[in-house]
Amino acid sequence: MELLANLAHGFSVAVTPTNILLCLIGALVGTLIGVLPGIGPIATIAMLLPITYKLDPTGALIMLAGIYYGAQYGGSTTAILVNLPGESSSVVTAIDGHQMAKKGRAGAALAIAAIGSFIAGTFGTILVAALGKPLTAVAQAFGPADYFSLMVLGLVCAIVLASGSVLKAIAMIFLGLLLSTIGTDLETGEQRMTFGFLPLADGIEFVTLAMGMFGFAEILRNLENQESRDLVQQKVTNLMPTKADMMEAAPAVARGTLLGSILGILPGGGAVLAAFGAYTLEKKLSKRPQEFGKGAIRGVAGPESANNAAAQTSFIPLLTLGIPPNAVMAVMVGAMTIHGIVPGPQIMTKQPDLFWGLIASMWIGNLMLVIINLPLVGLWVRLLRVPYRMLFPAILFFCAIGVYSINNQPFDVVLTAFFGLMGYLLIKLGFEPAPMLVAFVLGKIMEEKLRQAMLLSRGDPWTFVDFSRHPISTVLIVVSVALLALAITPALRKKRDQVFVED
Amino acid sequence: MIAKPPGGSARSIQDIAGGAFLVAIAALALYLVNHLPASGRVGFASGTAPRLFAYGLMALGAWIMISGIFKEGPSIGSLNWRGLATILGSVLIFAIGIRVVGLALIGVPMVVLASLADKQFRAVEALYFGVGMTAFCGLLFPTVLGQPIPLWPPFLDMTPGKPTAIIVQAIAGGVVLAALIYAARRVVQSRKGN
Repeated sequence: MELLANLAHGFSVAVTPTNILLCLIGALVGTLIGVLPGIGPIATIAMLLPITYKLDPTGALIMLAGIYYGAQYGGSTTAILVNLPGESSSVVTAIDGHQMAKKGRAGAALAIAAIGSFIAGTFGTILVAALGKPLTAVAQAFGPADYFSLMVLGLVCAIVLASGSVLKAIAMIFLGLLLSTIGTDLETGEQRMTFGFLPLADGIEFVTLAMGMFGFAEILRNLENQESRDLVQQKVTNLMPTKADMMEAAPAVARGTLLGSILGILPGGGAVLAAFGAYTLEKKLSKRPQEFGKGAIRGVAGPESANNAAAQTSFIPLLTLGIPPNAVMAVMVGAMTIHGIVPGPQIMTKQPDLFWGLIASMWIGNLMLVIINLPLVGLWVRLLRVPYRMLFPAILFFCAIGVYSINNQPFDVVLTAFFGLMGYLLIKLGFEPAPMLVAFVLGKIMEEKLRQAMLLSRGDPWTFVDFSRHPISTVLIVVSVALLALAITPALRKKRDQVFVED
Repeated sequence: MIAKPPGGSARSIQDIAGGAFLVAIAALALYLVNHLPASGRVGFASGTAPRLFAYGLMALGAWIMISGIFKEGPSIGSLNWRGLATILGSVLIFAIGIRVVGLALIGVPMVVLASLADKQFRAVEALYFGVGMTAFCGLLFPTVLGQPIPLWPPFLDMTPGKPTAIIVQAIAGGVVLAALIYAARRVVQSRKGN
């Protein structure tokens, strides 16, 4: 089977000493930031991007991917032990996980979370491998108009699945699109909104935006809400769950895996949405819903499997279609671009090493995490005792140097500070910056495709819904409009209680 | 946290301010691209996309603002002025200082200033931490990662072997060592005290 041959090739790439080391570093760093509240995957990936410059693209992506799914593992540790979700998708785990810990069953909770995550990760990896070829083939059939419409659908999904006001999410998307136009116009070479600053001629450096809005703004926000830490003091013993626990958790793991896999691929979805969705699902399906909130093991197994599955499958749209389904993947697009990789269907054909090596290393990373994490629990917990007043200057310093090292331009650092201020203000005004980041990354591609499509159609804007010439595009636009209309309908607004925040 | 101004109807100050903020940004953008053509031969020109997005943003901002007048919502809440000044300030002095005095000299001021953002600021601790972080990053980035980060001011001749280089590095090494020793002693003391 060709799939097996490709996977074997991928493993041969992933199992080199360098790549294994990078995978390990990424996974551990990911767990670390998952454990520490106040810094999330987006800020970390953006922060570590400059460090990956000297690495080859495959190695860099392996490490950065490790951070994402590592964070899912780490977040659950603090959620269970300290009731402090280190990471948004672990918020749900904290509900029942911490209750289990209080009853002395922390070990079982941690173990089920880890095992469930591993099973989900394995399934997710297989899915990525299996769907790679068919989706890439589909993408080859896409013309500029179809691509544009697909991205429109992606943005609409991001709005629909976002939390809070639909209106504000759309506004953030437009802001992101607007920011993406700053720089030199592709076709005419004219300067757009650059204030005559030379460093802006290439547009806003993506890391600057990400670190400013997600790193600095987040630090500013955290300083305002100093949380107390409700540490479970008793030693975590008995790491093995009982057979009854495993039997109980198994269906939840299966459901969580499936749900997470689907939601990961969906634009606007991701680990956070998957976790919340799985919890709700488990509670609805349970014969004893009153147990939830008091230490139901399914309330841990489901969300943990879901968030890890989603973390894996969210790579699918990125690696096949070249479209980031959520803010974290948008950062990955930035990483790829910096390393000279153009995201899109050609990755699979032109850089099979990268594609299959990345997939193989995702599974290896999951394996490493499940083996390493449980013994290291004590270490992670001890790290939590580091007061925030020492953490955030370190983060700040690291970020500043990282931004500077991109172009050796102090201006970039100043710009990051500016975006930190902007991000903080936006949060204060009730906006979420995540849709803006996705729109910023998509904006450049979208404008390019839009202009290409208009060129091909000689200026006819109706070409996007011209069924005879662009059937795919028509369908996509129709679905987008329908979704948007549904989102605005009040009846469905009540059902929208999902969180888009990917920090 | 519902804003009910005395004698007035309930309004969402957050929405009004937020909408106004967006409208202002959109207006600025439109002003900046005014000189670019809005449409060309095939309908698209360099100014089309920015205008589209700016108008869209303005419309949305206006909508948010207007709907904010008619519905209840939170007020903005207090801004973290201390945090803003210290954190953004520290990043700015880093930006200015990195080329003027180099990483080794700007590191400690930056970290100390940033640490002031937290109300639980402890000066000595921040100093030790600053020295440690600067040393760590000063070794990590240029040496391990190969990034050309300026460590010292340009007027100091730091080519290896020159007297200035030796003296400066010896002093720096001494400071770092002293900081490590003192910090370690404090940690041990505080452990004994518990």
